[in-house]
Amino acid sequence: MYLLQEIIFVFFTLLTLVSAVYMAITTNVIYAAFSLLLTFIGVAALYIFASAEFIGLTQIMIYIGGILILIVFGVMLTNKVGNQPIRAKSINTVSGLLLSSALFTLLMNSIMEINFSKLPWIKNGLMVSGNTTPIIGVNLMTQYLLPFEIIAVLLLVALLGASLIAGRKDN
Amino acid sequence: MITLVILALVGLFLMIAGLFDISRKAVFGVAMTGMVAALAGNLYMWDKVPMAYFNRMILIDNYDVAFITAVLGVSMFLFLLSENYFGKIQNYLTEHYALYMFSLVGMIAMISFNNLVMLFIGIEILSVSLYILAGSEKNNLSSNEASLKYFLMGAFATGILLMGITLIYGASGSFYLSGIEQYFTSGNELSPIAYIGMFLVLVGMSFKVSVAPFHFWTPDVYDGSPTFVTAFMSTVVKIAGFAAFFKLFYICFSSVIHYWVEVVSVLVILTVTIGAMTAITQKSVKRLLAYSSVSHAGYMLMVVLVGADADNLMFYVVAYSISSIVAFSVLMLVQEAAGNAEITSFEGLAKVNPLLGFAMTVSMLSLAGIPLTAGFMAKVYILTSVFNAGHGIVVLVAILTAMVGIYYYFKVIIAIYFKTATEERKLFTYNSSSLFKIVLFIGIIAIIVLGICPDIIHNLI
Repeated sequence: MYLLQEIIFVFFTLLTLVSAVYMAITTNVIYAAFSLLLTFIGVAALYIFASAEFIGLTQIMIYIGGILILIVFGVMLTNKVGNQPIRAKSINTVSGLLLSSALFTLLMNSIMEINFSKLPWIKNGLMVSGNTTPIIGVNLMTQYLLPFEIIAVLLLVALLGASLIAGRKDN
Repeated sequence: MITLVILALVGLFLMIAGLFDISRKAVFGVAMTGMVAALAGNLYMWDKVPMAYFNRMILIDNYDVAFITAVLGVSMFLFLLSENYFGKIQNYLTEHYALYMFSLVGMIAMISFNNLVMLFIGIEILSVSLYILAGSEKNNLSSNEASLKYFLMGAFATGILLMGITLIYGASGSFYLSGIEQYFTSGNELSPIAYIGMFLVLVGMSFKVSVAPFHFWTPDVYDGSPTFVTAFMSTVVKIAGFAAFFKLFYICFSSVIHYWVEVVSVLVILTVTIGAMTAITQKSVKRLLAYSSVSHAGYMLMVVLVGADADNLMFYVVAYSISSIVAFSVLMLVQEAAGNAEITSFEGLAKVNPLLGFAMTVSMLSLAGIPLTAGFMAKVYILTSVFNAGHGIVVLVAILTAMVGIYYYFKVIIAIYFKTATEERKLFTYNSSSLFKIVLFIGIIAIIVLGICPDIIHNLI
């Protein structure tokens, strides 16, 4: 049972990593979009592994169901502007590699040094077992009510912006 | 809290009003009334017991009231100049007004936040509104470029900021400022993710307030956006950004100041130097003001560096905002008459239109920090407190770059007074309405009065 869990975990981790790297290095935009799909699925699975199934499902619904479809359509509709297939070239390879490996080392080092069991709030925190969705729902309606309401303004601004940008031009 | 609700409702009301055929003046009137009402609701909170709302998501004390007043006051001041800008917008006029109202909602959320979730949502509301407003001249390619560039860079910085907030939550187990403060002051060994979280939040916030080396978007975005939006971004938005920046670092991270004080002082030195050095070569006054706003961000960051004296920050942002608005209002008029924002367009302005020439001169003097202006007193206060905190090198660099600053600000003054206008330019009519004149008069008087008796605003908080 334990072994099976590990195998599944490693499978999804590898899926996420390999597809993410492929997305970064491929020059074909459509391939990149589809490997992004695999990355999202892998991350969603990892969320579910961390018993955050609400976030996992949200990830699938929003990123795969919404954003990715948008990206794929965007790529397909703009793929051939003037009969020239869009190629994503890598530029600034050296400086980019340096910067990202520095960030990687920094994050890796600190993650290795964290003693998770020692963090006070994890030690004192309650283990959540079972379904987390009702807890999130109750919290959104009580403690996090104000942010929940104000996000409405953010979404309204985003909608306004979309319609302003897509709307007709001034003469 | 009531301020936030009023502004959100006014925004909604304006959007609905767009369905009906109402005049431009009425829309302007509604927006101004909304801001006045919001300001009144805000001032009512002055000197009351700090009030917490909605499970302490928002906590309003004198600091917040003062900065919200500054934000609302400066935007009302700026809106008096909006006639030409809004006059050019043919479609979706009320929607543009609504965006300004919503961006004010975002600013109020990010000033009065007591929980990092509120801070983040506030910054997002503000940024998304600004991405759209930067591109509001749809037929102008550089406005489109500004919008897209700001959006891409801003989204990246948002990601970094969010990651920082997450890591701080991972270390402290709280989004509340008091919880984070408790974690940092507890004396226990800090988790490594707390440091990285702090660092990433610093980077994210520095980006949002355009502190070097995260300022690369600033010149292009400020230059490409419509001048009114540029004025809005470099004054009102900067006040809100620094109010949030200072509050976050003052409350949460001041107990571990020795971990980040060197990083911030390097940022300060880089910002004032890069801002001043790159401003020298600029030929366009708009770009010059963009670089000068980077350099002024360095001064405001010094208050974060000291980690005390919020009243210095308050005075600086007010002095800087008033001077900038006067400069931008002259720039708007000159730009409209001459068709561009080059320094050469200002040549001989003093003879053609003495009021505009004088106003520009006073604001340039204030931005450069010449005595008897508000800008001078603001710099004195901040540099004194930085010096007392023991950052001698920062003060030295700041004074040196301020001298460089005098050079490029005076380039404009010299163009105004000591160059003669071309024959063609002598015939320009500067379409200054009475509102422009009122703003210029109030601005000039405020700059000089604050320069002589700064205690009107200083020591308030």
